[in-house]
Amino acid sequence: MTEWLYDDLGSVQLHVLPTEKYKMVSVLAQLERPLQRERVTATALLPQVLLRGTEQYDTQGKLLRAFDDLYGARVGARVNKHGDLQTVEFTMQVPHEAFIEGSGQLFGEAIRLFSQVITAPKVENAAFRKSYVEGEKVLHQQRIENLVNDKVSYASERCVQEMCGSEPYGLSRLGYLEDVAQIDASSLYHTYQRILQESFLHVYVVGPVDPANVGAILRRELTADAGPRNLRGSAATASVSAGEGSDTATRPLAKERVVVERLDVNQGKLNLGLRTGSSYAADDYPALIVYNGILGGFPHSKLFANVREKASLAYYASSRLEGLKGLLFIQSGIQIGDYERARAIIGEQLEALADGAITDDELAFTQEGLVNQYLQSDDQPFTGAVMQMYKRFTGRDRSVPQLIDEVRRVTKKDVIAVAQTVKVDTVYFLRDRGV
Amino acid sequence: MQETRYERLQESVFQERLENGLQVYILPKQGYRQTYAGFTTRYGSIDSEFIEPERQTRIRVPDGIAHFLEHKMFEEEHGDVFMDFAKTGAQANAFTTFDSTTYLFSCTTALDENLEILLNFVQHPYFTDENVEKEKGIIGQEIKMYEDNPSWRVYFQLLKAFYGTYPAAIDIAGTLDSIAAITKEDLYNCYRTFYHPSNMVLVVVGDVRPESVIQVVRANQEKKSYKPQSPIQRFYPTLPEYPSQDMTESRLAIAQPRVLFGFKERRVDSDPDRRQQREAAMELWMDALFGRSSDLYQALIDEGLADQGFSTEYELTRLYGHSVFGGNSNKPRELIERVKGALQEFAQAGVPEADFERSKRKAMGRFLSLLDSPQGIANVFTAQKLRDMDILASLDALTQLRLDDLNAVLRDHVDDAQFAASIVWPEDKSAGASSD
Repeated sequence: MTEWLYDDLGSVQLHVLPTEKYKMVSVLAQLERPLQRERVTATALLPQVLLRGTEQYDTQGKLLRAFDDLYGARVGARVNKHGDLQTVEFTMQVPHEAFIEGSGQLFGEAIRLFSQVITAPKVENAAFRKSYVEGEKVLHQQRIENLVNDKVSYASERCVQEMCGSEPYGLSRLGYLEDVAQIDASSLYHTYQRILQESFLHVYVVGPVDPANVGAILRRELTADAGPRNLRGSAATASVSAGEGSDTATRPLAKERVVVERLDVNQGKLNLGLRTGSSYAADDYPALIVYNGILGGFPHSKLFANVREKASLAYYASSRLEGLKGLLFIQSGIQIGDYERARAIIGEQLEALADGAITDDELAFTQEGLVNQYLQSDDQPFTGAVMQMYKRFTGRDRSVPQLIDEVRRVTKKDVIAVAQTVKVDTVYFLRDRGV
Repeated sequence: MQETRYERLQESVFQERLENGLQVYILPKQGYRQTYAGFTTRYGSIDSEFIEPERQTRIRVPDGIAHFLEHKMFEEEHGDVFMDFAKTGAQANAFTTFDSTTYLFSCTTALDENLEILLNFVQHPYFTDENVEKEKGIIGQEIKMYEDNPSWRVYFQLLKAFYGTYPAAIDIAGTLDSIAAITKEDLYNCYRTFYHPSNMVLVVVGDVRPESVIQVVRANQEKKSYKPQSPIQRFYPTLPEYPSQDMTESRLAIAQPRVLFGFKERRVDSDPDRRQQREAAMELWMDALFGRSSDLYQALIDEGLADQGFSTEYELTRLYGHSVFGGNSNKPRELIERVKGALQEFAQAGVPEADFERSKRKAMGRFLSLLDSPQGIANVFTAQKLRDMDILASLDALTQLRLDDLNAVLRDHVDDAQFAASIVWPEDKSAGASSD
C-alpha cells in the first residue's frame, strides 16, 4: 500500500497520499469536537451556512459557479458522528488537469476556493450573514423532521437514541428542533470561531499530485494570508478525547429494555442494540470484528442464513459494529406479526455464538471476507484518514495490513470469549398503529 | 481480442464476442486492489411478453418475475452460491433494472476461481416448487420495505402517471399478488428465453491482464454446449402518446410532502448516436438551469418551495424516456407551477451561453470521476452498451454539443401535453410517535 506523507503546518495537519491510479484529486478537511448537547445543533448547522458564501463569492450561486468553472470541482460539507465525537467534514474533488486539455492549474484554484469556504466565510459585523443563517435554520428544522421519512435509517437511529440516551453517542447527529430556534447569526459565528481555535484542521489530499506542491499551496491558502481568521498555530487540544462517555461500553448492565414505537407503516422494523466488552482500543478488537462478521456482516452470516434464508422472515437482517464504542446493532425488516419469531431466532444466533456453535467455514469465510474488505478499502481515497482519526480518538495505532494479519489469527476461542461479553441492551420495534 | 484506446482518458477497452455469442469487455485499471465483474442479461422488469424459444409459443409472465429470477439464481443443488464466493472472500450481489439483470462480484484474490463461479451459477438454473415458495416471503418483505419508502413511492407513482399500463410503470419487484402467482415453470421459461449467452454481456474491470481473463472465460464457455439462438422476440405495447394522468397522489407516514414531476418523451429515436446526443443535451440543460449553482435552484429554496435535495434526472432507453424534477416541498403545487413557468421562459429565451459552457465543463469533470470507481464505470458502461451506446465516447458527444442543438432539445422536450406529477403527502394524523 502507498505511504501517507505528513506535514505539520501548525494548526493545519496535512496528510498527502500521492497515487497515479485516480483521475481525480480528493481532499478531506476535518474538524473534531466532543459531542455535547449544548453544541451539537449549532455545529450541525454550520456546514450549510459555510457553503452559503465567502468574502469573495458572497452568494451560494457565485461560490458554486466558481467551483463548477473548474470542471465541476465538487465541494461538500457535512457533520458526522464517530463514537462520542462530532466532526465537521469538508470535502472536495477536482479532476487532475492532465486529463482535460487546456484546463490550466485546476488543483491550485480549487484549493483556494475550498480554503475560503473554511477560513473566509461571508461575515458581517462579527456574525454570519443573517439571512443565510435564518434561511438555513428553517431548512435544518425540516431536515430534522424529515429523519422519520426513511424508516430503515429512522429505526436504526431511534434504537441508538433509546440505548445511549445518557451518553454523547446517543445525541442526534443533526441536533434538536428546539435548539435550532435559539441559534442566531452571531452566536453561530462565535461557535465556529471557538471550534477553529480549539481544534486542529486535519487535511487529507489523495490523487496524482506532487506532495511538495500540495504542501506549498496548502500553506499559502490555509495558514499564511488568512488574517484575523487565521487558524490558530498552537491549538490547545493536541488530541480530542471522547471523555467520560467512552467507557460506558463496559458499565454494568441492566435488564434489556423493550421499546415499541407506532407509526403508519407497512413493514415492522426490529432493531437490537447490544453492548460488548471490547472496542477499537482493546487488544481483542479483531475478535470482535470477526464476531460481528459471523453474526451478521455477510450473506453467509448467521442472521442472513437463519432469519432470511431459512425462515423467510426478512429481506434484510444484518449487524453492524460501532467500533469506537464497542456497540453492536442488529437490524431487520419483518412482517409485524412475526415479531416474536424473529426476536427468538435472533436470540438463538447470539446464544449459538456464545456457546461456541461456530463452524470452521463460518470462521474462515468471515476472515476471508474481512480481508477482502480491508484490501478493497485501499481503493477508496480516505480509508487512511479514518484510521488516523481513530488513532487520535483512542490512542490505538492500527493499520490495514496489521488488521488483516490480526483478523487472520483470530481463533474460535477468541470469538467465543468476546461473544460471552455481548449483552442485549435495547430491543426497538417500529410497528403499525394497529387498532 | 480487439482493443479500443481512449488516448486522452488513458484508458483501453478490450472486447471479444465468443462463439456462443457472449460479449466480453475488459477494462484494465492499474493500481486497483479490487477486480469487479458484472454478468448482465438484456432482460428486466419491462419484458413481460415474448416468444419462448423452445416451443416457439408467445407467453405473458407475472410482473416482477425478472427480479424474482435474479433472487432464485443464487440457489443451486449444492446450496447457496453466496457460500461459494465466501470461500475466496469475494463480495457477490445482483440487481434488476427495467431492462437488465446483473450478477456481480468484487474480489481481491482468486479472480479466475470467482469468474468460474459467476459464469457457472448464472448459467445453471435450479428451481423447485419449494424454493420458489420460500422466496415469496423474502421478496414480500422487500416489497413492503419499498412501500414505506417515500422516494420509491413518489417515483413509481410518477411512472404510473406517465405510462399507465405500459411496462415501464411496472414495479421492478412486482406486487404481493403478482409474485404469488409465480411458478418454477414461469422461471424456466424466462430463463430459457433471456439467459442465452448471445443475450448477455460480461464486463471485468480491475488491474488485470486482458489476455488471461479472456482465456478463463473462453475455456469456461467452450465446455458448455449452447445451441445458436435466433434473436429474441419481445412484445411491448405501443408507447402511449400522452401520459395516462397528469397528477397522482397518496399518503405516507412522513414529515414533509415529496413531489416529482416531469415530461415524457413522445417518441424515442431508433438511432443510438442520436439518442446519446439527446441524452447529453437533456442532462446539460437540466444542470445549467437547475443545478446547485443555478440562480433558479437558489430561488426555489429562498422562496420556500424546495430544499437542498431538489434535483433533476433524465432517463432514455431504446423504448421510452422522461425527465424528472423535484424533491421535498411544503408547497408541491406551487413548486410545480414555478418550475413549469421557468421552463417555458427558458424554452423561449434559450439557455444563457455562460451557463451552457459551465455545465459542459462540469459534465466533463463528473465523467472523469466515474472512471475512478471500478464498479461505477462497469455498471454505467454495461447499461450504455445494452442501449447500444458507448459511455467512454460520451465525452466526444459532450464536446460536440452546440448551444443551438441544446435549445432545440429543450423546446422539443418541454411539452405541456407530456407533463405529469406525483405527490406523496404526510398522513393527516401527526407523524409523532407513541411508545408503549
